[in-house]
Amino acid sequence: MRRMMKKALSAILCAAMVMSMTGCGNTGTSTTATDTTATETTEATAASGETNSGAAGGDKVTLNVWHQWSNDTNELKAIYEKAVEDYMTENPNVVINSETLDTEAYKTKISAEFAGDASGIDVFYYWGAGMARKLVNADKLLPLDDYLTDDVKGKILEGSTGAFEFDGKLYSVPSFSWYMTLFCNKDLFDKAGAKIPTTYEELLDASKKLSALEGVTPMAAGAKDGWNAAFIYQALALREMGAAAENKMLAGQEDFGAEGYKDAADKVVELYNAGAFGKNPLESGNDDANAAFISGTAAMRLMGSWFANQVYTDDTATIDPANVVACKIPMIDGKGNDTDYCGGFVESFWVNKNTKYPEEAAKFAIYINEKMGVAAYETGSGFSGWTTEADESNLNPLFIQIKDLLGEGKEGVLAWDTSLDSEPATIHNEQTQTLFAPNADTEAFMEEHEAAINQ
Amino acid sequence: MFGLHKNERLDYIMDRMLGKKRYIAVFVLPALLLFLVFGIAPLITTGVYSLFDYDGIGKMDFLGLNNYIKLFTEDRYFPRALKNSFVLAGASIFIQLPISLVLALILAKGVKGEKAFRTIYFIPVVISSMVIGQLWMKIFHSEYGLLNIFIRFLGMKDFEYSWLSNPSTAFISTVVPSIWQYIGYHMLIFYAGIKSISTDYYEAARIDGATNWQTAIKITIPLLAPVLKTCMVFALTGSLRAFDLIYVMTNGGPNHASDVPGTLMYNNLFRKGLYGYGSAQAFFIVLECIILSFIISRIFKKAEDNASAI
Repeated sequence: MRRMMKKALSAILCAAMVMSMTGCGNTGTSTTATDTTATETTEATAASGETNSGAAGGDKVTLNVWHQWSNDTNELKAIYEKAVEDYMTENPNVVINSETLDTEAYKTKISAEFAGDASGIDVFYYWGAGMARKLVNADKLLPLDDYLTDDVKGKILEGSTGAFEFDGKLYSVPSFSWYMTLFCNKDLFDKAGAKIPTTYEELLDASKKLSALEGVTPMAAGAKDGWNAAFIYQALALREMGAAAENKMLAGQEDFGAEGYKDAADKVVELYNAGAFGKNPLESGNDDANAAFISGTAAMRLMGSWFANQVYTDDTATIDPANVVACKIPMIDGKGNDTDYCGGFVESFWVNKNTKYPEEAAKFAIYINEKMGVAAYETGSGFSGWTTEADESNLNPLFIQIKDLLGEGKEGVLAWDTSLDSEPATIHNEQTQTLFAPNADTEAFMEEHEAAINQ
Repeated sequence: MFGLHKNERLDYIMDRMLGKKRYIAVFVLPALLLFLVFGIAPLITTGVYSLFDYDGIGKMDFLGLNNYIKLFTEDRYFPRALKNSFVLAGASIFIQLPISLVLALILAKGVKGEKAFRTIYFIPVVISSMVIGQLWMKIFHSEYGLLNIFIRFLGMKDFEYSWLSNPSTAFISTVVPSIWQYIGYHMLIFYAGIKSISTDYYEAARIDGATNWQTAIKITIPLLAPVLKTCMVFALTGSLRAFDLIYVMTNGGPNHASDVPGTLMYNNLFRKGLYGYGSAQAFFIVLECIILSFIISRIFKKAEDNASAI
């Protein structure tokens, strides 16, 4: 009897352990379940990696790489997978093990992993400037200076490493950049008898004329998503303040509070009151606003250069992409510099300081940043940070327009929510949303910003 | 004969086993382990984080109770969020529960298509909050929303709002679906409770000439006291930790007008990266739920005693 009980006891204990393991396992599978194909290949390579390392006596190096191209329809995902395959062929001793999640979930996952030592991550995709600073301050990132050969340094585009440098060390190399563009639907402008705006006055005038058209919103703001609202404010603030002053403010070298920042907020309110964003801009978000533009119910959209790709490739688009004009952010009379722009290099691959294979991880991170930078350019979604030759045959005309605009650019300002710490960044996005409602209070807007940014 | 003997023996073994604390411990262990690992441990870590200034990655600086003090002194949004959650709780208890109770009373009385109605009222409970949120967002939409179309049809132009993006109507607009969603849930609990009341009471009452109204007030509701208590605790705690619907519909906006502690906590934890401060809010919600549930239990204690005495 006693023996039976012992058996029962061990069975129960086993069951308890298995239960708790499935508990842990569940979170793992559900996070990777967003992309079954990637998980399958991942598991396969991981398994082969383990058996190999056992057989060959530990010569194999397995790198766990995390990125956020989780959607199979994203061209960059396929390009990434191809690049990884090529890398493994060239470096037979390295096995790359990729994991992916959707952007918001990805950010949360990375934060959670780095609350510990993130032992399951060697190389990972992340945002530079303010977002990476948190990781740098916590000493979680590996500086890449020692691993950069002169050959590699020579290929990096000049002035593209600002978001990756902290305290004189380079923690990543650039991949691709973006450029904030005012997309205008020329058909609707012609219909309304409005002029494609190059100055704020023209923008205001065009907004008034366009709002007279039945069923047309002059500019789709997408303000339900904070960062969309923030884009419009940031564009006007760039023209009021100039890039140099803004960059100093964002780096914490100068306080927020200059009159120009308030003037920019007042201009957003003025545009709102003129009907530029329709009646209820807070009702629709980024996707709705993009849809409104490509279906011809909005005449303007202020967006990153990546939107050019959607204008050309989205199946639901009903406008003629050839009639879309890419413009610079309109100038404000007597202020700013027209070589200033919003955008720049901020996304790239980084190396976990705790990685077991710093050299291999750094080598791969540099490789994949270059590959993805060039690929982003070739597919017309971003601008490469490398002087490496790229195939320009597939670029759409809209993207080429933007490329020419970028060619005139000298100093860029990143989106504020990537430059600032996460707390002021969130407050900034929230506060810009308040400008898109009746009775906006720009005094309060300034006070909230000062309290959040000038800490 | 032999089989009987074996059964007796098994009974004897079971008795002996359950008599020993060791064996009881073994049987309780799996559930206890799961509860501790997934219930209590996170709660304790949240409690610990709430005492620190912590960004989720870097150093942790001990603050003591300062995070909790900040909730009520410095945070301009938390008191309003708290007030909103109490409005929601009040609406749940004083609007949602009575409607559920009336529906349950009518259904339990036996109407034609009882089963069909029961299922229909329960449908919103089964649907994901994400879907319900999307549905009501369409209803409240200022241009093509059902509500505004109806208002336009009635010709009351002054009452046309952009419901979810107007600070003065946003929160109320999220309360309506929150209440609507769980009416069927409470109705089903009430319904089951009513069905479990012995029909003897009703027969006796009918012989004495009691009306439907009288039986409902004098028999059904007093006997439902334990069920009422359960529903009230669910409605209250559900409102205090409300999150999903409001997150989908307004995410606490515009400018925090429709924030509840749940959405505020989420934004502090995952958007602003304030792990310590967000944990304090999370822990506060837990404490608040426990204390208020306890108070409700005390209030109902007498009523329950009466119910069990019958």
